[in-house]
Amino acid sequence: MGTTEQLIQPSATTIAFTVIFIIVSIGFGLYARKYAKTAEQFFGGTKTFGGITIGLASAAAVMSAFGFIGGPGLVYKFGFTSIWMTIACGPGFAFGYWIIGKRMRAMAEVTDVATLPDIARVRFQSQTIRGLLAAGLFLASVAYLSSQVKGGAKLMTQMLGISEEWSVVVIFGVTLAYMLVSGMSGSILTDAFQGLVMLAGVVGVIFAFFALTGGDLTPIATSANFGPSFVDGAGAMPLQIIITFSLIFFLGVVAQPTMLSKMYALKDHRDLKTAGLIGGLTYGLTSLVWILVGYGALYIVASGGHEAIKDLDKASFLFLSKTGGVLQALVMAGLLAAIMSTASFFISLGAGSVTRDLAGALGHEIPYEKQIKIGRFIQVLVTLFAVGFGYWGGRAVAILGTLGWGFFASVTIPTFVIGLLWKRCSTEGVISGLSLALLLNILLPVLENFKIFKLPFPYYLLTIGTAIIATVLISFATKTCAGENIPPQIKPIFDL
Amino acid sequence: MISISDRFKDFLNMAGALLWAFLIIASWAGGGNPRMVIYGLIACAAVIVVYYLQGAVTNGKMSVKILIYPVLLNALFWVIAFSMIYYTRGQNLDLVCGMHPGFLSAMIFFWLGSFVTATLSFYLFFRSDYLPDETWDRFIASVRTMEKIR
Repeated sequence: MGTTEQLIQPSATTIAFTVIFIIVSIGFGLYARKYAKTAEQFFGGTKTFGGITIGLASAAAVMSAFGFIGGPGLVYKFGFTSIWMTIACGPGFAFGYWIIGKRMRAMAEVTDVATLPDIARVRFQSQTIRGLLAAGLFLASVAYLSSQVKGGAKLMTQMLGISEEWSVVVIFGVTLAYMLVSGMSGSILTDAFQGLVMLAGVVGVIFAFFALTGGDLTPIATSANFGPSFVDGAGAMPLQIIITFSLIFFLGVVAQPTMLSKMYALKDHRDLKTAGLIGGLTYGLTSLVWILVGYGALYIVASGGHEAIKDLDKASFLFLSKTGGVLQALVMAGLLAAIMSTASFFISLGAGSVTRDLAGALGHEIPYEKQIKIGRFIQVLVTLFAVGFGYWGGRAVAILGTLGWGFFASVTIPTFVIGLLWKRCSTEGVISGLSLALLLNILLPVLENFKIFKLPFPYYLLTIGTAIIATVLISFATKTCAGENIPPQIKPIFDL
Repeated sequence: MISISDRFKDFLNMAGALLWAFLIIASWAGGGNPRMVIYGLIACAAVIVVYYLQGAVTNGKMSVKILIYPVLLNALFWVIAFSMIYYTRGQNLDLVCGMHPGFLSAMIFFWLGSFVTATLSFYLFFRSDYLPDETWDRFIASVRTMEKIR
């Protein structure tokens, strides 16, 4: 993996914050054991938590290391363009609840839900859809986890001054420890705590940014290295990319498993109201980190405070190196929270996809009373595989690392958004959409990575659009589980 | 109240599919023809209206109040934000409150505007329009008459 330049010197405050954060996270994870008695709770946290917990947990799980490290790095290199992703996400939470929240929650009354493929199987009466979705979710979970490895390693090296290898062991070892005990319920509860830590980090960033810049971006606008395109609303990336970033991240929030699965984790339908509000506001506030840290790094270089940086991941640490003490510790704890909250969710998602759904779709349904035990075993395998892949995967990590947001949107929008909004959406339509989504999501990044073919816009716009178009067109021509053929227990959902 | 019938939803989904196709074309062509980009961005606003019209309904109906706020207002804020950033991109303009006018309009109209429409309205209208208690109770009553589906 290599070594990370030590931009920040570990301080007693930072080390103390880190240790306390880890201990408290483990504590919440262990406490959540009482909410993980059934397979539905262990894999889904189904009908267990209130609106504030779900709102905070959703925001924390959606905001990954990318929002704290990758995003600011893109702002440093391209100005505002990447910010469209994060400013679309925040309000996208409530939009997602508007269009599908009550229907997803209602599915937990119609059937025993533990995983997203459970809902898909029941809506479309299809093991094929269950299997395709499960395979896709598993693949993307591993990809997402792998992509957290590098960011996590660099972070802990900065925070504690330990090697990157030990950093990985600490982050993923701690996360796995409480996941083994309490599964998705543990993930939700710790995510809620980690969401609060992230909010505290945001406060630190706001203070640090305005102390550093006075809120004036003039040095960036007038800098010979940067200029007006770094401070305008379009940025320095090709303009057409804003089409993808604005829509896919607004509509795509509801398509993320981190959001969808939490809708049926709500104890009561009335909790949808609070969850939609808190989730969006929390994410919206944490997205200020992406914006302010990125522009803070630009300001530092533009005003001559540091030489230009080449490794974009260093932008965040450059900004943090200009803060100190409690502020620095707070922000870094927030970043650690972002990584662990995302990691815990995908460990559970990956394990649930294999234990409950892939096995069942292939005709080997694991007995209910054994699912939690086997699920724990699979969690260990998923974590080890993802960490190993992230560490040694090399080029494959770069390819699969692009499987994430767009991939999830391409498989879940046809299945759940269209599937629960439109009666005419058929089993054949969704199978077509899912199959194309899986194919294109592997093919296009491979072609891009081997420099054979690259689209002039993010490829996932094509995969999502194609999946939706195929689902709609095929649905018009087919009828399984559509219209009058919808299972009777599902029909009341469409009247909500 | 506006009726969002099954037939209308068929139309909305076909319109949605066409809009997605247009977005792909606009993104592909936008590199050589920037005007296609602003058309594509406006199409994004239309896409969110398509999904709002299907999701923000209760018992197959949407009130005019909801149609205006948040649905159409959200789309309008997007069109304003996109137009501002498109026409001010790359220009050396005086900063407003330390921010470029394009930057400011993206934050005010797109970010804050979407929060004020999508997020605030969801909270305000949850019980009155989105999910009244009697609607949920009716749903539960009909579900309880049937065996759970597996």
